[in-house]
Amino acid sequence: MTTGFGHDVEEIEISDEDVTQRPPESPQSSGRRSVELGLLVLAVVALVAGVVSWQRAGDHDEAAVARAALRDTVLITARSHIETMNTLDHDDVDGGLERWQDVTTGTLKDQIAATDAETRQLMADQQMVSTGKVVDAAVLDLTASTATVIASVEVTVRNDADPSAVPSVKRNRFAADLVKVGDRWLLEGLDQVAVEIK
Amino acid sequence: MTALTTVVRRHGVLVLAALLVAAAAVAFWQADVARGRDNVGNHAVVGVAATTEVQSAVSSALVRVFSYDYADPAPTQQAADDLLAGRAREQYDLLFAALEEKAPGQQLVLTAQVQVAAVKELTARSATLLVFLDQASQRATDQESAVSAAQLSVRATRTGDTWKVTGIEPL
Repeated sequence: MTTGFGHDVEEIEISDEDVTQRPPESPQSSGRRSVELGLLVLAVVALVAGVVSWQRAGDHDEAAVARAALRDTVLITARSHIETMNTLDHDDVDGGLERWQDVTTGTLKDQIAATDAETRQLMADQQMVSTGKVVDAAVLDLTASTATVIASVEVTVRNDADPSAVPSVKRNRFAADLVKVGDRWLLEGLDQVAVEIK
Repeated sequence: MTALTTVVRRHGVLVLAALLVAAAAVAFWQADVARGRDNVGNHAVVGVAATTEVQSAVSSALVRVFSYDYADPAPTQQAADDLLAGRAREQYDLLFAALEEKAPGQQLVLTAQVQVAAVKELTARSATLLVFLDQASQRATDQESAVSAAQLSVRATRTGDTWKVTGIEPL
């Protein structure tokens, strides 16, 4: 009985409410409606702005990320090119010089290409096998199409004419200038960083 | 019927608006979090001003620390106190002790010069550089002089506003 009574009361309450809402909209309630709709529109605008802001925030440092990626690409390429340029086997002088030409451009490439038969023969006769390894390297300057990289290079020279000799190991300081040709970074200059102190 | 459903029925639009505003707040907050995030990691070369700053700080520190005059060793010692820390400091103290021992007898003068210093890694607090350093040594006793070309991997740490050299590794 008690449950039924409670149920009744509730139903009465709802119908009461329905009665108060049902009458045709008075000017007052339609005013409230439009205020509510206005607020809803504002809320939607705020949400859209928030979501757009969120999406654009992800690449707030897009340019810096791209530059960092370029720096890393240039460094990897330079290390590999510098090693190539410090590597030559007397058994394959032509192949070695071809690889040098492949990683260079401009006058440096022209100079390598101009290596005459006599010099090539001399290189072959020396019986030396040089192997370059970049110990450490860093990018000094970087633009979209040019770069300067410095590198500490360990060059091991083995003398095949004297198999008992211990290979000589030298550390050299190099500065490499690179330019972007098409989609490849190539060496335009490769120089040892000489001691300049008096 | 609960009070909540009553509120929703009466002010559905307002409730919806409130939810949207809350979602917008979350979106703006997330945008702020994303903007604060560092997507670069290594700022070497990328942050031009910061790169130049650590380059010149480390270069001048190395020049001061590796220049030495037997007649006036105090500035070198002072430079080591000011500019070196951590492991670099310990290593240097050993080196300096050896130098102090033989330098006066030989009337030794060391002059250092940084040829080039490039930044390999850079964060707000730490940096790694590759440095090509020249050092000339002169012995007044026998007029002997020599130059050496060093290749150093240098670590630096920023404390407050200043960079200190914390590691010097000859390559």
